[in-house]
Amino acid sequence: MLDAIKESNLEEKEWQDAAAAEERARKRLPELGMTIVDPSKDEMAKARQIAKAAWDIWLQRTGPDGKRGLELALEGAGPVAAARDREGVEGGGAALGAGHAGPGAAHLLRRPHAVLLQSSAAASWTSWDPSSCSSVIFGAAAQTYRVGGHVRVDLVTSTCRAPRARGCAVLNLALGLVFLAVVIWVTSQSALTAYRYGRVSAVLLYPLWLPMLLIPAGLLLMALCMVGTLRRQLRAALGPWDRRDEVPPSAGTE
Amino acid sequence: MSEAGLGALLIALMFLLFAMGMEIALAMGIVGVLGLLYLKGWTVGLGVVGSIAWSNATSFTFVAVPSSSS
Repeated sequence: MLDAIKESNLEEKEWQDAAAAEERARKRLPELGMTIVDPSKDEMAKARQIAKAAWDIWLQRTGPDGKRGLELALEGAGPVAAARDREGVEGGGAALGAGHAGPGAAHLLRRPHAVLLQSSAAASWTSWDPSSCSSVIFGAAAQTYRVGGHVRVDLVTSTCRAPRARGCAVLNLALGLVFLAVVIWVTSQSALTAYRYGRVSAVLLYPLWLPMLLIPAGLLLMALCMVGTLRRQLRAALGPWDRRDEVPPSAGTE
Repeated sequence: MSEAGLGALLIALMFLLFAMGMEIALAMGIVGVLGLLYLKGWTVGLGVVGSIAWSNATSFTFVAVPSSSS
């Protein structure tokens, strides 16, 4: 497989494509009224110094895997930085990209100007990225379930006889719990991975594992509510015949 | 089974779950996960489930959701 990759010369082609894309952008952006500013040596040195703190934290968290990944990224950045030096762009955005992004350096090398934009936004604090915190909405899933706020269709079950509706309710709860268990597991793994590799948000650079953890936490609360409902539903199923109906999600509303 | 056949089967299953009174969100989630697992396998399918949950939860639109209804 490695031989096939070498034969395809894909990496070289990707670099050529990236260089061509940047050249097009450098022509097109001034036409659109924008000014392209290449950072000076002093600015680059300052950016590298500021970024170094993030590198160190990331390397501490990721250990040997992170160190190896960083070495590979810098190895990949080498030819680009060298080419930029030859062009007199003083290391260019590529080196800054590697410094700023840490784990995502290899990817961001292809987008030096985007990286510069992110760096300046982070430095000025004029822009923020609240959308990654909107996962807090999962915190309301349990309470919404408790008050019966999750939309469902009871057109069919309301016309069924009680034992059949009760059977459907038990099956629904069991299937729902299995589904939630799967989603809780995979989203917890995602949050754990984000923590281990020190993933941060795009602009404010806060740890992403925090908002990511809200998803499994909210779903876990909902699953606990559903377990309670399932217990009461099973108790009703084994109880007196006249009370064998579907129980509400919350015990307080019975 | 062809992808079209699988799609039809899963849509039928989704309506069956609706008729059984399952919450819409859970019914659609279950059907979606089953489709992903069948088409992409366990590793990729479960990975996609995690990333879909994250990418859809972090919608800028949700930032406007009020924190209290009182």
